[in-house]
Amino acid sequence: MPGGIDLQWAGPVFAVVTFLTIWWGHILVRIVHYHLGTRPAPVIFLGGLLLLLGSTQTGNDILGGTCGIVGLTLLWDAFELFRQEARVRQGHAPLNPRVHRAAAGLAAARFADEHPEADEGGTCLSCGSTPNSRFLCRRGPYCQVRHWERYATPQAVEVETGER
Amino acid sequence: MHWTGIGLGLFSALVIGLGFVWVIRFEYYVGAYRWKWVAALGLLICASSLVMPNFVLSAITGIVGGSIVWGAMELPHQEERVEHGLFRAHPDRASRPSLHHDGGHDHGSKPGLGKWWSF
Repeated sequence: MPGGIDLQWAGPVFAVVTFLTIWWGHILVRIVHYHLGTRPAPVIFLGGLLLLLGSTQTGNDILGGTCGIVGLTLLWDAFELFRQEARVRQGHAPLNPRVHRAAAGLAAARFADEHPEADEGGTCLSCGSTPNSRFLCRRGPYCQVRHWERYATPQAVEVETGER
Repeated sequence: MHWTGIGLGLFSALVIGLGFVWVIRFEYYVGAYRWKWVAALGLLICASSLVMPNFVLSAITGIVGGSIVWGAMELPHQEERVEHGLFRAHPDRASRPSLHHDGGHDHGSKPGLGKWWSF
C-alpha cells in the first residue's frame, strides 16, 4: 500500500450494501404491496429474522455485516407494507382493486361524495335500499344497479350476410 | 455467536431512520436543488471510509455515506411530495431554484409497477 496505509474495504462495501438495500427495499414494498397487499408482512419479517440469525453464525465480518444490514432492513420493510397500505388508502400510491378492498371502498366513497348527482334516489334493484339506507347496500354508496340497463350485455346484432 | 452483523444492522436502521428526518429538513431549509452537493458529500464520506484505522470505524462511515447518497437521490422526490401538499413548504420556497418536474414521476407504464431500478 502506498504510504503503508491499510485500506479498509469494509466501508465502501457496506456503503454499496446500504444503498442497494434501501433502493430495492422501496421497490420490494411497492411491488409486493401492489400484488399481495399487507399479507406477506410476517414472511418478510421472518426472512429478516433469519438473516439476522445467519449474521450471528458467520465469523466473516463483511458477510455478517451485510446480513445484519439486509436483515434489519427487511424487518423495517415488513412494517413499511402497512405504511404503504395507509398511502394507498389516502390515494397517494397505486391502488389494485382486486387486492386492496378497503382502499377501493374508501376510493369509491370519496368518488361518490364528489359526485352527489350520481345518486338520483330511488330504490336499488340489487338490495332494495333507498337514498336514506343506501349505506346498507353491499355494493357501497356508488351502487348503480338500479340503472341496470347501463350494464346489460349488448344485444347480439343479427347480421344479414346474404347467401353466397 | 458474532454480534457484529446485528450491531451494524441496528446502526444502519438508525441511520436510515435519521435519513427520513434530514431529507425532510434539508428540503425545507435549503432546497432539493442542492441534491448534487449532498451526493458529493455522501460519496466523499464513502471514500473516506476506505482509509479508516479499523473495521468498525470504516463500517460506520460506509453505512453513513451510503445512506447520505441515497438521501440525495430522495431529495427530488421530497420536493415532489411538498408540491403535492404532503409536507409543509418553506415560506421563501418560491424564491429559490427548483427542479422542474413535469407532471411528477411515475414508475412505468403499468399502474403501480416499475422497473426493478425505478425508485
